[in-house]
Amino acid sequence: MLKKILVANRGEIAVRIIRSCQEMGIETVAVFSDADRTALHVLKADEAYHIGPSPSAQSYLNVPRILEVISISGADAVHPGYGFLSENTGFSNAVISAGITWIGPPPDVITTMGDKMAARTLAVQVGAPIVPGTTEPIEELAEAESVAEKIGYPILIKAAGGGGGKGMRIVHDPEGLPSAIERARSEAGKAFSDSRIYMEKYLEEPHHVEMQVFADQHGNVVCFGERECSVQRRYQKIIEETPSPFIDETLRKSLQKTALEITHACQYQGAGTIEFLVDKHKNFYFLEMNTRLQVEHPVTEMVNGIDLVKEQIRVANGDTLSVEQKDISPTGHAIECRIYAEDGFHKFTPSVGTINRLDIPGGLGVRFDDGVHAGQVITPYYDPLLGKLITWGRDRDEALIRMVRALSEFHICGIETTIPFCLEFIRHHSFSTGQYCTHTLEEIFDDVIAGMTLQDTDKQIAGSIAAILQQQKTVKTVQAPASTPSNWLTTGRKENLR
Amino acid sequence: MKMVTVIDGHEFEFHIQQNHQELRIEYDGNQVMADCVPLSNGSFSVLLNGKSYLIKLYANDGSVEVTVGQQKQIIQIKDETRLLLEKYGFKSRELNHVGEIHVPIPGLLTHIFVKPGDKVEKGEKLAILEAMKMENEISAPVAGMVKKCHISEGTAVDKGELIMELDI
Repeated sequence: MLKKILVANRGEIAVRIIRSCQEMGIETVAVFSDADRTALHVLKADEAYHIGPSPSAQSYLNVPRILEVISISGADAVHPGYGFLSENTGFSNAVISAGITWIGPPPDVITTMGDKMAARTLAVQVGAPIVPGTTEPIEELAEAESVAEKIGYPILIKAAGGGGGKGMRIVHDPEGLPSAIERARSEAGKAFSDSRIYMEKYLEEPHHVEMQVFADQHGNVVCFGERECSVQRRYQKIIEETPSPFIDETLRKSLQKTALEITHACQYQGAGTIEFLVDKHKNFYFLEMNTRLQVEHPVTEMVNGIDLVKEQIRVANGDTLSVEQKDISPTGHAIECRIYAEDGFHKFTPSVGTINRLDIPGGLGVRFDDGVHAGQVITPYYDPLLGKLITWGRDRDEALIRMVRALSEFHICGIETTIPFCLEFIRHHSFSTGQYCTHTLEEIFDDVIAGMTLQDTDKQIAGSIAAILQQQKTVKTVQAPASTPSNWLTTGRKENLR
Repeated sequence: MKMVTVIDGHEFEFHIQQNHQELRIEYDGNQVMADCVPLSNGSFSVLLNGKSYLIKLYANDGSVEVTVGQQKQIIQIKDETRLLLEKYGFKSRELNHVGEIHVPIPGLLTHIFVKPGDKVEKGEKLAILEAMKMENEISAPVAGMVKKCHISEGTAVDKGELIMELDI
């Protein structure tokens, strides 16, 4: 069994991995940059090593230094989390060559499935539907025009080498095509040093639905069901749930079958996610595979009662999966809200500062995967995810009302967060009735902002009084509790008087 | 002492009396029982006629950003001096600051889309600030004309630096 795992990450995911290791009796090694000396993952791990200056290129992406720490600490395995080096085959190959266990899929699988073109080709080979479009990069404008004519407008132009919305363009008519291709190429070239682009049909009211798959080294492959991830801002997810209120049992079975086939075909190992787009007519299309643990994995854990990180560690160790497909039967409903240091009022502008108070919600069915502590300074160097709030309920209504309750009691002072936005969004009838797609956030944005505005008169009066009292400096200060006199101190003082 | 707060166009008038430790607040002719205790820098527990509120305050150029529960609003506080000045036509101090565009978070100012003399609408894109791996849009808080740009494209900027001024 593995004895010591180095977690090559930071923030909530590093803490999340450390927790599973601790329950398995495995020692943990954290790595940190200048800015993260007192970050939560450093405080929670058994060991912690400095790996460089604050910018991630010089620290969390500093492969030589991380390899050095692996050797110094005597770690026998590496968990990369998500982001940073999780899909970097140079790093995973170096780890494996050093005789260290890599907790993730084999590097060649990361290479194949990480290339969107290669992944699409593989999906087509197993008979998975893909969004109508090109499987080869577009070279000539004339070719683009004829393809667009064939699949029909509106079409979407995407970058072959990346994601996150960079290089993406919607084109509604032939006139807009040349300039859209030009801009997409330049953006993709700058962002990913790869200006290859491809084109596909733009779907009506699309849903982003993904299937959690898992494979061990012995050929066993299972699927833990879907996650509905259609609430997105800047093409990045913010609220997820399982099961999806949009998917019916027939569609679920088809998605699962396709996901399992792709996982088998690429000879996958470990935790993976197959992403699909589903249009309003319930046509589904393979989008891509993520060869790592996903940010939103906790909702799957909550309804399946399974720890996916422990499962990853077991699989990396060569053990068989702890469950078979026939044993998997999700119970209840789970929702996740990502708590980002971003100002929902101002187009999700990142917020930096010191967290001077942190009231984390609790109670039955509430889980907070935290990455920060009170007193921590939020810097502009990293992804602004502070943590993830997850609620579980016997059904969607209970999970939803529990999320409303949990968000209402969640207070982070000193920085702006997405808590108010998430609260108003899930209360909006689009979400509460389960009638939403990837366009919904933008469509209801103004309603949500209005809901985030203080309108209740009693509350306005309470706010006014607090503001006046603070300005008048008449607010009572908190008194330190009178301490019980210690006998040692009393005796000591008496002795000093002699 | 008389104090007026303005929230979202509504005015609330309070009368405050302080005798030593005791604080008496009157609103709409009714005595209000208010107990306000700080929890941390900028956050308070307020008990108002028995109701419990968690309130965050962030003072900003003569106005206060107040969050009650998870809902937010800007409050203007006017004391007797201010009320008197306004009565005789003096402009509020903070109005002069509305046209100032400051850096919200440290980062790199990658694009500036306007130049002095340009007319801008409320919400119009003024500049792009790259921070936290993201491109953040800085938009005009009010309609106006660009008076002066203080920072040029490609400059690394710190929180609070003045980017440009708008005439409103």
